[in-house]
Amino acid sequence: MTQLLLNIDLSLIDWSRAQFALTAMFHWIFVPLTLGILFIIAIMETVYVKTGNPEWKRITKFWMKLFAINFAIGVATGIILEFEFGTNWSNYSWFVGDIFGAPLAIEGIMAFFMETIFIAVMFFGWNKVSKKFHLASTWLTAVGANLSALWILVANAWMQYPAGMFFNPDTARNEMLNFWEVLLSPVAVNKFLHTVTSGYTLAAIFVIGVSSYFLLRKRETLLAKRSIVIASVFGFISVMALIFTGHGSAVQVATHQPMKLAAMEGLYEGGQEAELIGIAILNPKKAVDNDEDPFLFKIGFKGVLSFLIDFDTKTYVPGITDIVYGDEENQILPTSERIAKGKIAMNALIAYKEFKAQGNTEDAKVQYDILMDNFEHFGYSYVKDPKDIVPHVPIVFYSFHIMVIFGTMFVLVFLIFAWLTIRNKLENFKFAKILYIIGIACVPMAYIASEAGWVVAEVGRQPWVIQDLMTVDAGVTNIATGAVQTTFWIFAFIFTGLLIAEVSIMLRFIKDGPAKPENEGGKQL
Amino acid sequence: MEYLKEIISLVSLPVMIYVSYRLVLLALKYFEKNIEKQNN
Repeated sequence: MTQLLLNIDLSLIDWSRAQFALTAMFHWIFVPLTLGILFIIAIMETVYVKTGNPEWKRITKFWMKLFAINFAIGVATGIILEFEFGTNWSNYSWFVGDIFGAPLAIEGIMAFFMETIFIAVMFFGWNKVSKKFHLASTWLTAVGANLSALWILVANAWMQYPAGMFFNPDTARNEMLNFWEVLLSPVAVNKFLHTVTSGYTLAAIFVIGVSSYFLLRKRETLLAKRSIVIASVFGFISVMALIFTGHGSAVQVATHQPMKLAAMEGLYEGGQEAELIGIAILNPKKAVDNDEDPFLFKIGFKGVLSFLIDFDTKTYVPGITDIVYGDEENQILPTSERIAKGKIAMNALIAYKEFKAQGNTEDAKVQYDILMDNFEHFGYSYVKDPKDIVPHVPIVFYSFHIMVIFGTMFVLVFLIFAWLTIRNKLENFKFAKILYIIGIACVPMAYIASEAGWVVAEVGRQPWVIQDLMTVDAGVTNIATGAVQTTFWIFAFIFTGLLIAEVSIMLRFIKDGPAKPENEGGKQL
Repeated sequence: MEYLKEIISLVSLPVMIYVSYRLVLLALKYFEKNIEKQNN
């Protein structure tokens, strides 16, 4: 593999990385709305089944159509993403396919089957199956979509925190040792909960935004207000859960990926009473090997970062410099030492295979023990310079703060909309028009916050494709750079076309509004 | 139980959705009542 690395064109790595990032980011435009709006639709349909009021069927059908447009394009981009593991990241797939493949396969078999079967009933089953069966199908589609997210997020979490595995030196592959350890790793559970609740929050903001448009235009006001009542209550609970799980994720990051946490906070010099940055401008001249001040301007809260991680302001939080150059007092090995140990592990693996081929089991056993003693540093054998383990700090820092600021703002948005709408004071509110515009403006902000979250997760763990085990450049497929460049532009062109198509279809559909009301009827809630 | 904390965390998700659903119903009830009150 080391020889292979020497032959790889660096621009190939960047283009492969860019292609995967492009596909993932386009895919993530469609996924969160799917995850959340399905539950909102299911609640609306439940109200319809409980009351028998056809107005609720009309509301359900309206949001269902918006969901359908979004869902179709989301699936298309998701499938490409899974294929890219094989086409662009075959070394990575070889190294961890025995573990990574399992959750992806379960996702395909279990979740997609469930989702696609019930989605057909949901769209085409009106008046063909009983109301209750249709309702059950809607709920099961929502559950299926979320289960699908669970498995792919388990796979992603494993890359951030490889658990439940064993490295087989004979095949040079990682093999699954304990399925439950992979599925129920604290990183996986937190990642799943944080990601799906972000989807619920985004979907609730989407419903409020579209409903605000109707209220601004004084059209379908009752439908809009009913939708806002549901979305604001559902959204408020979701965003609270989002903050709670966000804290859980940060604790996991602090434990397993301290470099990512340091980049999120622009923390170069660690220590006790670590500062939580509220808002700041980073100093572009700052690097790990100079003494420049990390910030040009900042508003920070001393000790809060330490407290959030361990409920103790005295908790030590390592900074970027501490991780790169080591901190003896806090038992952090310098990266140079980890690189040396990683090379020992890699050389032991090579020697082990040679002795094994010669039938020299005794020396092979010695090399195996050396390999296992140093295996936690194995990935560092791919690192050339200790400074290479620092991710792009400004991207991680600003993405994290955008996500947090927008997320916190949504708490207020849900509260204001819920308070005014439930009391039916929204239209008479003095600043109603401004509030509607804020509601609409929150839609792109929710998408930005959601994408920013993934940027933090993925850029923050660079250069690792699997934390401490394999760097991104070691995972890439050695194919012609031109081939990756060509497909990059083809995908960029197609995805942009799909996005424009989706947005324009959605806007046209929203502009046309929901179907005309059927005869009123039904009972009170 | 080794994974008790994680299992409880996962189970909390459907519980959260159920609580949201009950609160939504409650909110809708007040909303419809307020509309009725204001129409009269």
